[in-house]
Amino acid sequence: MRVDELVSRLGLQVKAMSKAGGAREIGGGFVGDVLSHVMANARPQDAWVTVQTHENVVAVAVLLDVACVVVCQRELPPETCQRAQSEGVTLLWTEQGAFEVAGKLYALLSSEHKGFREL
Amino acid sequence: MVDISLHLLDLMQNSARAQATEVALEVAEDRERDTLTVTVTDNGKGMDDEEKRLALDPFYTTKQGKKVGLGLPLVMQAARMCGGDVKVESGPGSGTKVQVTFSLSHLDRQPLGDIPATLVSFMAGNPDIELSFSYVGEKGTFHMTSSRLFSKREKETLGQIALLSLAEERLRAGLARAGFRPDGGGVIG
Repeated sequence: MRVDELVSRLGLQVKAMSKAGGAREIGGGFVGDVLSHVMANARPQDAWVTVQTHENVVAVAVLLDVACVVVCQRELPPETCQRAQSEGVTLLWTEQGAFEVAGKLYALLSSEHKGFREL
Repeated sequence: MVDISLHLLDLMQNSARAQATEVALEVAEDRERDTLTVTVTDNGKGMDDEEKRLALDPFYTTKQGKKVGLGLPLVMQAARMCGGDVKVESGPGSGTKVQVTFSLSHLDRQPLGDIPATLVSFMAGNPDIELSFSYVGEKGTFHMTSSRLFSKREKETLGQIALLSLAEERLRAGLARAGFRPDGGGVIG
């Protein structure tokens, strides 16, 4: 599933996206708010679901080369959105909770990839 | 970072990279003022005003081959999440002092974590740095300096690993006497 498909299927707001960002393929998902834990466990191509809104999120996303970041419920400061835009990180926002987003993301990915266990 | 001790290790490693020969760490809990203050002071090469400003930017690093530098930005985020902040004092040639304050009772304040293991890990990796450490807790104050942690006889007879184990044992005992709780966070605190 591409990032732009995820945006439309989950009704996400795009806060920052590079030209190629929408076409990036999502390979998996990760939910986490402790940034060091995310750094240690998330993988490139993941859609990262978090409630963190600090600019450090953008730095971690760059480091990991995740497909996109989905921020849930908490308001994003403009400086985080600007930083994401300038660093080429796709930053998405939703008023849905992380539990709901993770469930929907898992269902979408498991319907596409055999590697995902059906729940 | 899951606890404050890991932030402290990051800050102390910054001091080591700044060629410090002396690093002082102070952890002070003040229940009346509801603050937890951690301060790392070193005698390293220091920073000018521009470097000081950039040190808080997650996209600035002095490490070659790295895209981001998250040591100070992460501790600043952790502090601000619970009503605190970071203050950096530094000048070229005059060392650096980083002071981080947290609201002691804030729900989101991270636990202090395993400070003795963190200090021993720093001492093991930086044996030539003189480390001093103070903890001000509910029951009292604990202070140690790495050069005075062992007797002459212990230094002569014990190997590196035995000395580090002994250091950890003494740190744990001293901190326990001063009322240190590694799991103390906003709720348990």
